[in-house]
Amino acid sequence: MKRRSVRTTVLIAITLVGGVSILLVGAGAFFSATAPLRVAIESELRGAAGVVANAIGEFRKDKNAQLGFWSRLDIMQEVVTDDADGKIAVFLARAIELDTGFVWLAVHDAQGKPVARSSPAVPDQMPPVLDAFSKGPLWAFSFAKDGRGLLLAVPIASRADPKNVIGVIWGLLPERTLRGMLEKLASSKNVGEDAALVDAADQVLVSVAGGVQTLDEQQSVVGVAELGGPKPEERWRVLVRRPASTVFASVRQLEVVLALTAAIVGVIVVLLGFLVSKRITRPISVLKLVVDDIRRTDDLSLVVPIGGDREIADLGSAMNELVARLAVARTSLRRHTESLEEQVRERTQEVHQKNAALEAEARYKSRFFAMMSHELRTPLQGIIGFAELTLTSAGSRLDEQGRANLQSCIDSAEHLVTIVTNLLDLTKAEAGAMRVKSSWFELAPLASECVSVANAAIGKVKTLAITADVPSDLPRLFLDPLLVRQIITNLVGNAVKFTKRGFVRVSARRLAGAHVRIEVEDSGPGIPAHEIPRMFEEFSQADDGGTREHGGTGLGLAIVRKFTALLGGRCGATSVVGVGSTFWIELPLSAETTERDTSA
Amino acid sequence: MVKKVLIIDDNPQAAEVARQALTAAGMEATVNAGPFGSTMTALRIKPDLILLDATMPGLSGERVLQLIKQEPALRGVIVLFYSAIPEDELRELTERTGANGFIPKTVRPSELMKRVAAALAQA
Repeated sequence: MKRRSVRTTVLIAITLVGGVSILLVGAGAFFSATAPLRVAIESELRGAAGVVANAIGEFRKDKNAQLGFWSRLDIMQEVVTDDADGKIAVFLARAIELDTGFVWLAVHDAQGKPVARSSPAVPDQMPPVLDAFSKGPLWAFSFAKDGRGLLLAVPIASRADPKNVIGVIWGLLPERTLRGMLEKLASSKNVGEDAALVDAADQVLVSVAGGVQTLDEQQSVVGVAELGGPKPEERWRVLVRRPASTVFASVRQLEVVLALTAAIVGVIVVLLGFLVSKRITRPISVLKLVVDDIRRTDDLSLVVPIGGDREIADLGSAMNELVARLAVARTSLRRHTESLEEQVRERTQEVHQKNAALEAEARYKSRFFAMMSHELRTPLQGIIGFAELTLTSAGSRLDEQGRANLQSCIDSAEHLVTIVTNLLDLTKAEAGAMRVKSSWFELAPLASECVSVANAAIGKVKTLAITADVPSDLPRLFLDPLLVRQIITNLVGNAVKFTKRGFVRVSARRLAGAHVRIEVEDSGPGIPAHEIPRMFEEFSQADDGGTREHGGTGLGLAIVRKFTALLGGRCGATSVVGVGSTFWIELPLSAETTERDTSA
Repeated sequence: MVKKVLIIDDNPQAAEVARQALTAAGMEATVNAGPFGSTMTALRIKPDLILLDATMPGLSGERVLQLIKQEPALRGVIVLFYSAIPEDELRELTERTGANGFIPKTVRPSELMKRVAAALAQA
């Protein structure tokens, strides 16, 4: 898995937090701005409409009052006589001339018949919409929309009977007057685009810019102001409308501003994140670079620069300390290793010296025994040699006794050779100077050879059967054959020496484990049980007094014991007095090592 | 043809025993008393067999054997160690130096004659 870098993580985190914050703030600002804006605009429009409504109300009141004043003039009583003297007509003309704001004025009698008029433009018939006579005597005024303007009518009451309506005075207020007011409203201070004056029945009396055709709140904001008094006909309203497109232009502007702000802030946030992540990760990257360098070059003298924020600086310091400790540890380890190597060198040298000393000692011993053997046996060779030469060459000139003496001389000297040889072997084994040299060999032929030699040695002196009974399937042995031969020879020799007649039998068998047991059995006199333990000691024979008689050196069995031990085996004997003895050895099939210096 | 044997031994008695025994056996035995001059003697008489003592003062039998082997004229001469040192040492010495065999000095003259004759017969 590829791991994301710290820098990316920090950048993502900051961008996420910043972006979400900006969205939340923007949305909040937008939604919190729209509704109050509508309320504020409505309030503003209402105020503006109110001002116009007031003006229109004053205007209407003023005109009503004018008409009412005129209706109560004396001359208006003449209506009943159809203005016979023409006073009303004169008055109306003069009233118009006085510029009272009416386009024209007219008076009709209670039956609706025209009585007088200020201008020929006045229609003969009163518009039924005025409904001037159905309202009874108490109506204050009536109005109606006309193509040219607004018609206003006021009843004329009888002097004699104020409740009796005897006529109507009415006039036309030009549309331009009212429209002027509305236009002033519509155009003033960008209040609205459309404005209208409507009556209680929502009939549009005057309008500008097409009038307020729709009150759809989605598309426009409308301000309404009422004017007039308690009576239904008095309840006019001024409406002013501002299209939503105009109203919320500012909101849209706000949106744009917000979007721009968000974008700018977003860019700033990302840049900030970039910088922050760089600030955080750069020291880490530097740490990593240095650590990589240390790992690559294995140079512990490199130092991590301390930079960045506290934790990073702490990390750098900790790394430096670790590297320093590592360097110290390595130095100490190196010293330790060098010291160890030095020690090993010293010890090795000591061992070499000791080995050399041991080898020198072994060589010296070996040479000593060789010289001993040489020095002791060379004179014996002279004795044996000259005696036999004499016996051979000049025997015929000697008498029987002389030849026997020479023969005894030879026998004695040979016996001495045997003693010296055995003694040297034994001493050598004890001194650890005996060389043991293992090799593979078969036991059966070796045993046969020993038996042959023994048979040859006894000649026809004794009536003795010396035999070997070693199974041919016995495994081959890996031992020093010279030592094994010596052991068997000594055991056979020992048995032959003490056995006057009967048999001496060599046998062997494999034992459990990797061992072989070799036995030399005889039909000799036997040995008392208590003598057996001493049998293998030097110069000890069962019957000490019989040494000379049996012609032994007293060293044969001691050598057997030594050599058996050298070969890693053991030896022993069993015997029944008067029946015979069995001497046995047990040897491993194989020596542990092919060659070794041993000390018995 | 009479076989020639050179006996190299510093011990005069031992050398004499061997000389007499081999002469009695019908061989032509010559003694070089001690190691020095033995190679010259050998080159002169061209023996069939040399009986070489192992331990001689001044020059060991081993060294003498090396000198003999260095002489091309003496190639093919049978060399037997003839010494009173222990038999295992003698065997070891024989194997190490590449001599043709060994005879312990403690054998009787009759045995010595047999063994020399056997070694000559084998060659």
